[in-house]
Amino acid sequence: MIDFGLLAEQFSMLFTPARLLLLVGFSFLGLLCGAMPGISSTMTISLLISLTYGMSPFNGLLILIAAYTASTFGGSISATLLNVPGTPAAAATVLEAYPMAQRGEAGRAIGIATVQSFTGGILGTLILLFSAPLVAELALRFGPWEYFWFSIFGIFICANLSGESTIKGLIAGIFGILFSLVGVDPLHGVLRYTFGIPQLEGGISYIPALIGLYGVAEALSEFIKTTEGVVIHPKSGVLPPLREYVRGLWLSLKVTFLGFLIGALPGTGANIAAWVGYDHAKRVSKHPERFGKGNPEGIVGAETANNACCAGVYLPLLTLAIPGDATTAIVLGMMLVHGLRPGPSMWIEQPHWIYAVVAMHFIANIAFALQGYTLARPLAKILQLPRRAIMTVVIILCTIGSYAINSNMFDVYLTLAFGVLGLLMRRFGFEVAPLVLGMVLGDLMDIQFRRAILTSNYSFAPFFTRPICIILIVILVYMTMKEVPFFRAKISRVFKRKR
Amino acid sequence: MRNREKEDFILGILFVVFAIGLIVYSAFLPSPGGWMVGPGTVPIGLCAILGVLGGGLMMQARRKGMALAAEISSKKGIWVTLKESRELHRALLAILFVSAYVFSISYLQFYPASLLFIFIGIRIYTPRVKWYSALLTAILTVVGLFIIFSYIFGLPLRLGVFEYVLKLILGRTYL
Repeated sequence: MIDFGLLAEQFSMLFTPARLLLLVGFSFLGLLCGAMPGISSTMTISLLISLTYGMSPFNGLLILIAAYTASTFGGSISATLLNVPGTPAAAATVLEAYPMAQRGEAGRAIGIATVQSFTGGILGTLILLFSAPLVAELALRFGPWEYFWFSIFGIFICANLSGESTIKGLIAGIFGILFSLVGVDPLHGVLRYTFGIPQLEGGISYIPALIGLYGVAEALSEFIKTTEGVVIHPKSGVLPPLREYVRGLWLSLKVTFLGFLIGALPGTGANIAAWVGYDHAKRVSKHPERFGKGNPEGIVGAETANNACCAGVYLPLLTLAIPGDATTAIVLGMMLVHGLRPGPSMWIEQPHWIYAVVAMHFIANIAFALQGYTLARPLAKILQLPRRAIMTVVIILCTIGSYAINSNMFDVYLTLAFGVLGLLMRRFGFEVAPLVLGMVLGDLMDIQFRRAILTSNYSFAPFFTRPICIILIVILVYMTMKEVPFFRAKISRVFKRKR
Repeated sequence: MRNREKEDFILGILFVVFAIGLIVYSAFLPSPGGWMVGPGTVPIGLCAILGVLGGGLMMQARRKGMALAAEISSKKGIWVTLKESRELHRALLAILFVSAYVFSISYLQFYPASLLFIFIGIRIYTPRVKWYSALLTAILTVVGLFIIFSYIFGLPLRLGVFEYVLKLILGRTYL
């Protein structure tokens, strides 16, 4: 049951001059970072986390949500003006937005992206508001068996969808889990994989690792590049005509649901949502042949889906304490640092936080949409700043971010090590996202597995007989079989025969 | 066989070796509650999967275009390519540069090290920016960082030599 009184209270808490200023400021920062190629949404959030330690949890959450939604949209600006997606979530947008910019319609392309991102964000937040209580109620019935399979499910989906090779994704995921197991075993107090290094006894904190994997690695790869892009300046107006918006409304409604659903699946994220949205727009279009040549429908599909996904990723985080993507993994870290415990019990103990997240999403969407309209042209100028010079500052912010957690230089060294690891992973075609998810969920997976064994008197049977476990296992088996060439051929033959 | 497949093949071998090593290490971890709930149970299971995936990566690499494993050590092999790679040289320079900054923090303290890092970074990676602009950018950035992180948020980041500069100007130390 939704408590609208509590929701209204959270909205009223946001309408103070200081918080509105924070919202506008960090929304702009998110927009700027998202528009700057090389600074992804996850990197933006990992850089901002150092600021949240000195704030109240409410303000900390507000700046992260404002920056995340704005940076996801911001990626479309450089996709349009530079032919380079500012964030991976804008990769599909490039295909249509840049050809439009070349035709002199850069303003129109940014306008469509703004309106559709806003639509996707607002509708996604509404779905979050109505679906979260239902999922939380269901999650209250989950035992350690379900949590174990959910962790595996999240890592597997992430490995399967986020890169060129599922094998490499799974390897990255396993390394993530192994990293999370370093330190004192919470069940028996035995030291695992510390190799005599006392600083590792407390485990590898995943926030310095995330800052390294996204921030330092991205800055290093920017240092390695030799070229910088050319910026196209928007000449036409940014506000699209109303009839264009109405024409794309049905498509954006459908794509919102898709984007939200993808976000709600643990281990996915906005970039996958954008591609699925784009693909759907192409499939239902009357003119699929115009895709890739500057068709606004493609922008509608990609941008609506990726911003709806921004709300969707909060569903597993708030109801199961399982982050939907790497960015919400950082948000989870921030919430834990501030003593907040997301999960099904949050609905009973601290329900106002759920409504706070919803209210923040609403306001953050309005903030970035207004800024998207007014700041598209000045942003084109900012995009001309030398990126490699900016990356030196990014390295410093990464250092502060990792140092600030425990005022400990060892965390900074860890960040550097994970930065180099991230660079190597990119070089050898490994995705970083499964590693991150493995690091976040690995501990949970290990503990829940052993707790489940103890609860069921050393029996493995409940892992395979409980209804939700069976559903998850069936999906996992299907996805695994799809990756084996022999079974893949069989599956496609069965589907062909049915058609 | 292309470079990516060669690399994948070698990585596959490394993963298998790593998995075997970690299985052996985990098997010797004490498990007071029995092996099923021991601290090594999950890692052993994971390493077994890692070993299989490493093998899978090797097979995938072979299927994609590798004729013989011996080709890896051939004259035109991966190590020669890496040695000649400009990308690798740039990567090493970048890693060295960032590592030098991180390790210099312990000696120079945070703000002086950051000022030097920004100035040198801009000079190396954006040579078209004049030295005085680079220096001004570095000073302004460090002042901005000081105001945000030390003054507003109170993070204990050391000023180093700047502490004496502040003492000269303000007549007292900041931290």
